[in-house]
Amino acid sequence: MQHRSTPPRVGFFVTCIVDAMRPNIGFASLKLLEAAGCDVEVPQAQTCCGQPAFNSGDDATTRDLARQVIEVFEGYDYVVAPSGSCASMIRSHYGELFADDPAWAERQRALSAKTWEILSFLRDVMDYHPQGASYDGVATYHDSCSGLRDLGVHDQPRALLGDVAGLRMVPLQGNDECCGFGGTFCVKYPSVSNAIVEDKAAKIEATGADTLLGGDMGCLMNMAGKLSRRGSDVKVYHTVEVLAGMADGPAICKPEKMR
Amino acid sequence: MSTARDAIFQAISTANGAPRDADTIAAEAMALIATPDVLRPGFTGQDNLDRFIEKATSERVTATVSHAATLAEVPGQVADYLTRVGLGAQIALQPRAALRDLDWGSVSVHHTVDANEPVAVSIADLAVAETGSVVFLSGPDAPVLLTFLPLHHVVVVGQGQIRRHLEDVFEFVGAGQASQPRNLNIVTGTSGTADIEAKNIRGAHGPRFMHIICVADL
Amino acid sequence: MKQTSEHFKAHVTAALADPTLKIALNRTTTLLRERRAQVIADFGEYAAAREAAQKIKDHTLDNLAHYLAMFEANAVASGAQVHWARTPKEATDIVTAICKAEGARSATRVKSMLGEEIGIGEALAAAGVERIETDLAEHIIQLAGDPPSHIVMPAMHKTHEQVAELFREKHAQPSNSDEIAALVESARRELRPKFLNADIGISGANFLIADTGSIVTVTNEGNAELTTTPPKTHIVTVGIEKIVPSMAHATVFLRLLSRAAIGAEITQYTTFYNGPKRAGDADGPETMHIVLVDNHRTEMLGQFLRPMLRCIRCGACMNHCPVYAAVGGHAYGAVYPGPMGSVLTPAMSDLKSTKDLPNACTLNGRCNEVCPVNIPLPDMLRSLRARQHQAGLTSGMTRGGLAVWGWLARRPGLYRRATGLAMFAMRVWSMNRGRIRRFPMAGNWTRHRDLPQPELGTFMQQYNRRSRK
Repeated sequence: MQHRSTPPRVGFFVTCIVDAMRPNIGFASLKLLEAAGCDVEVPQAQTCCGQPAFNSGDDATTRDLARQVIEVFEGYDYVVAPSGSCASMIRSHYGELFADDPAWAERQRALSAKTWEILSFLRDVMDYHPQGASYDGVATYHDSCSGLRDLGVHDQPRALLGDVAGLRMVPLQGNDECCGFGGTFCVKYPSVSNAIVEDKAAKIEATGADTLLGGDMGCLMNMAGKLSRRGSDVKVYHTVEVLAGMADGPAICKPEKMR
Repeated sequence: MSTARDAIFQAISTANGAPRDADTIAAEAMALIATPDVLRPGFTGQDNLDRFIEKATSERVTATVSHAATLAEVPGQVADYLTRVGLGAQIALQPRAALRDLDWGSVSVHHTVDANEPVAVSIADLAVAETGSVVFLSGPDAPVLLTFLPLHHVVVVGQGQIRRHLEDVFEFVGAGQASQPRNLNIVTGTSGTADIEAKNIRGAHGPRFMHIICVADL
Repeated sequence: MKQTSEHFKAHVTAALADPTLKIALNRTTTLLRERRAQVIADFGEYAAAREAAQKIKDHTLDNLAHYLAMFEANAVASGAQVHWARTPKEATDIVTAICKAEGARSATRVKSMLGEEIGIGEALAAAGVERIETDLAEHIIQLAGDPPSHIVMPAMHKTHEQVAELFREKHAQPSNSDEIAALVESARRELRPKFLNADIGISGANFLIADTGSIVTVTNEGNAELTTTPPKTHIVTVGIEKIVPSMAHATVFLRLLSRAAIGAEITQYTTFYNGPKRAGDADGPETMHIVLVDNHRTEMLGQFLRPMLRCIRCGACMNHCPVYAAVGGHAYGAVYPGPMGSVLTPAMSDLKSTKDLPNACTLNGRCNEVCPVNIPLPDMLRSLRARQHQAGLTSGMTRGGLAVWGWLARRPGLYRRATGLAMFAMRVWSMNRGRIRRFPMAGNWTRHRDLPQPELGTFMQQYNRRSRK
């Protein structure tokens, strides 16, 4: 819990995938961060954390993008992203890039230390308890790998969702197993990725839940895309959309006219 | 000596740099296992015998256990076991004086072990409470194959021979010293395999059944 | 086996088209994951033991020359003959020379991955020595003519129905039941006489004990002792990284190995061997040879792959890998499959022919999480990708795509306009159906799943529009 006279200044890193594919997650995040007492800003010069280049082995491009992220965000008290994957890239992996560059390494360490995934930030740093959120449905939860294993995001979303009126949670078998997204993996090895996400979709359907929640748009888009292709009725939302009371719009891969 | 040996040591030295002195290395190695209790399953409140029996008869280890006051009761218990499992009154007996000297009565005893030996009886040198294991040291009166060829293995365990943890076994046999027996066999239950669809099946190549006779005073 | 990792993608296509393989992998990985989870949950000291295991391995690797020399001296004092081999060829030459000197016609063998790595099967065949695999799974794949598909359970790719058919065809007295227990009994009948009549027994070793010169085998079937006791010669082929300082140090690993591999507190048979039979012993071999093999291990010791030498070959990484569980071990086209194999195979061969292996991974981190010696497998696979990139092995498409995207991502204003346009085009293309079934350039995604319809405006566009109001 933060006990400070002035609200913490948070630089919001929307992440490239939420920016492009699901802005609603970004706006839900802003709403929650403000409700939690943060002074939030959205720096204009942000693009991507560099993870696609990093995971493709292109360290030079990654380093360039990492420097950009450091320059843009180092002035804030915290950097918060609605993604365990992108937050973990900055927090856990940037260190590998500047091993031979002491000046940048120091700036990098400072930034990494104050970078958070949003759900763990809301709970662990801001001790936030959602007020008045409600969702009428039965949901199951997928723990995305980077958030879970690099950042220890597991209990926080469940605790936050526990305060949402009308929402019932049911367990998902294999909740901590990869959905097959893997960033560029899903298009480099489409048939393998498909085999994994088919299995995941079957397990999601087997829960009987009407909603799937998670904390990473990449994984959610993969699972929603597969569920949609299978003709499933399961609705897929990012956790912040439900927490912010902004899951009234179309679910991922569902048409807007359902509104 | 061989060029391969030299080349391997040369490559290690390139990667690792100059070797440190042996005492420093030994001290560091010992420090890594200085507090073994934090690295192994604890079972405080359970004595060695209770733990040994619990583990030996567990679903995973699958042995059966009976109790005897002294070695003299062993032949009678073996005869009972043979009757119970429907085997003839013949056993391959570990050629150890303590067993040979017993009065085997109607049970016919031989000291060789056949390829398809139905049942063997031997004394374990030690047992391990932690895992429910029995331990055999090979020797002139302790053939290794006696532990592996029979379908039924009847093992005599003296209560006083039960050690708490695996490490205690190594202390007993003098770990760190040369001239150990050829084999130290730590046997935990019966031969099993999970090689087909990960299903656990007993009697793969070695014994399918193990019966342990716990002797209070060996 | 012949390495065919360069055909990974073709192997994957074949594997995914095989419904029986999917059944076999599902049955096995599910059981192994459940059992491991249970036995680790019951082991309250697991985290401390895992940390100690990592430290012991690191300590041993830091002082590798010291411990190897100590092992050699003690093994020789115990009466064993110690040999050194830099390459698989040197190792198999030593083995076949021993067979020749002994006039051996048959050898029983207990599975060891090092044996597979050096190609001991092919070498024995070339030397005219009949090889009898005694591990049940190795027996199955020897009869089937298959390479192993898993390092602990080499026949993981076979269902019991397939094994039953194989045994009916190949066994002298097959069982007429398809039950797994009956199949095991059939193999017992088949192999029993062969154990006792072999000239040579060949094993690997799970551990080498420096301060006693012992080698250690760990099995559930008891085939190691039946392989290494009756023949007059026992040959051990083992990698130099298997060494630990003492028996007490080995105990830390014994507790972890069986738990990680098969979900058991200990394997049924753990045996420490010290040289050949002693004077007066009732049984045991007359001679014991230990062949210590390098095969790129000292090379790995000097670079970023060093932590890989901690590996104790438990197979937990592959049991928990979503890619392995989808495609099976044969797809990797190498002795070592799965995550650990995707690190070892490039290290033991070359980056180019194994290009797919480090890439065919979602970097989900589960393999590192379940590894009993905490090997950072995902980080090493990522580093291998970086080395591929440096070596110019990445495809032109990927390089070009990354270059354009990277150029744009470094120009935020331009990036915002470009993403805005692209998302607008995608939105129009979606015809307001909510999902997109096909999209230019996104075939690898949309072949299997839908894309969502983007909102009207990217986050940055919408945010800036709102802020201006």
